[in-house]
Amino acid sequence: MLCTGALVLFGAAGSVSADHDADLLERGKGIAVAQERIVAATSGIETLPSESDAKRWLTAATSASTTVTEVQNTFLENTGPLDLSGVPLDYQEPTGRTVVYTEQERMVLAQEMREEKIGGLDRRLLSFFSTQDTDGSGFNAASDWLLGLDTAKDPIAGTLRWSAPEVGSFDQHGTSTIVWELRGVDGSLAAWATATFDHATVKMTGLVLHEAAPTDGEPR
Amino acid sequence: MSTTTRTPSSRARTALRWGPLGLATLLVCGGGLALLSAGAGVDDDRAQVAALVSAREDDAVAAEQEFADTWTSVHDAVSPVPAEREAADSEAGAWLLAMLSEGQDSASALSTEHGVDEMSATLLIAAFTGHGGSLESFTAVGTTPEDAIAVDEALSYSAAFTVGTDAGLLTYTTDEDSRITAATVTWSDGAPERS
Repeated sequence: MLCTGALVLFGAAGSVSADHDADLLERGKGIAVAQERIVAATSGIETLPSESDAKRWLTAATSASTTVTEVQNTFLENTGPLDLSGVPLDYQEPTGRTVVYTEQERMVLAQEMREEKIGGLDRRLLSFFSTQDTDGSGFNAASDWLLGLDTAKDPIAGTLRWSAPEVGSFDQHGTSTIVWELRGVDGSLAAWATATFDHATVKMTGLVLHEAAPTDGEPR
Repeated sequence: MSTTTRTPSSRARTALRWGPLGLATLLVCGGGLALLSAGAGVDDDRAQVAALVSAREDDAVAAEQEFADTWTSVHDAVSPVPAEREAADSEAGAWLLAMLSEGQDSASALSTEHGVDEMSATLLIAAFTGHGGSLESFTAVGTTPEDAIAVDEALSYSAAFTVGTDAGLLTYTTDEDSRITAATVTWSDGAPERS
């Protein structure tokens, strides 16, 4: 009986000791967590830019944002019915004879001029966006954003304009959020897009394009 | 008078009779001591570990504060809007949306809390009709002044947000105390395009 009691006591002592060790380990996990925070903060300081680098960050981000805005507005300017105002009415043959373009020929010329204007714009966008990540619908940031919007069917689409403010700030992760707004001449908001600019890679990721819901009594 | 004389054989019998009992008693005592030993100092050990954790956490807080201070220093050296003002303005916008998404239905209360004029507050509340849920995400981007802002300068922001499954854009203006002086909400129509 006493032997059994002794065994129980030794067993209990072992159990208490093991539980205690486990308890201390559990309580000590806070040290590892704190250590990770220290490492993250210390390495974070090392990756922060100098003042001159930070200035370059903001300049580069604004330049990228402005280029994207200009490209998207060029797409917009070349949306909708063909504009014949810039198309010549006639041309001169080598013999000196003046030949007047037909309406149909002028339409073809206008289309060619439009394609020339928007040709290569996708490649300019590729400098800032990756085409690798697209959603199920195949929307591609490095393309004409209007194509992803119902607004494209609106006759006034060509009068809308994209705009984005200068990039004047960056967060602690070395990124800046850019918001583009698509507005009509009356200031009404038709759509907006957001993306994250990574100053280290000088690339934008995660473009999300939203179309504004029509307000009451305002058919789209 | 009789004399009891223990013979070697009787001593052996006595030893055989009491020896195991003594040994068992010793074992019980040893077990008891082991148990006492295992239990002793538990609180001291815990206190020591707690002190170590606390000290390391203090170091972590200090390191994070140093990182935040360094970031703020660089940020404020190049950005026309101080990080503190940006954070306060962003917090004001997020708070306004949180109030609206939770069903804030009193324009006067909204006006008192945020400085939003009652007309704007009424429109904001009306704009949130049918859009409930918690504020899931909020990212405000401010217009960037050409030069460092004056103390009393107003700032405008566009903030993409998500409430429940609905997304929208809040445009708002803040005064020098980060109180919202004007705001409009536009909701998104359908699922967004993502790249």
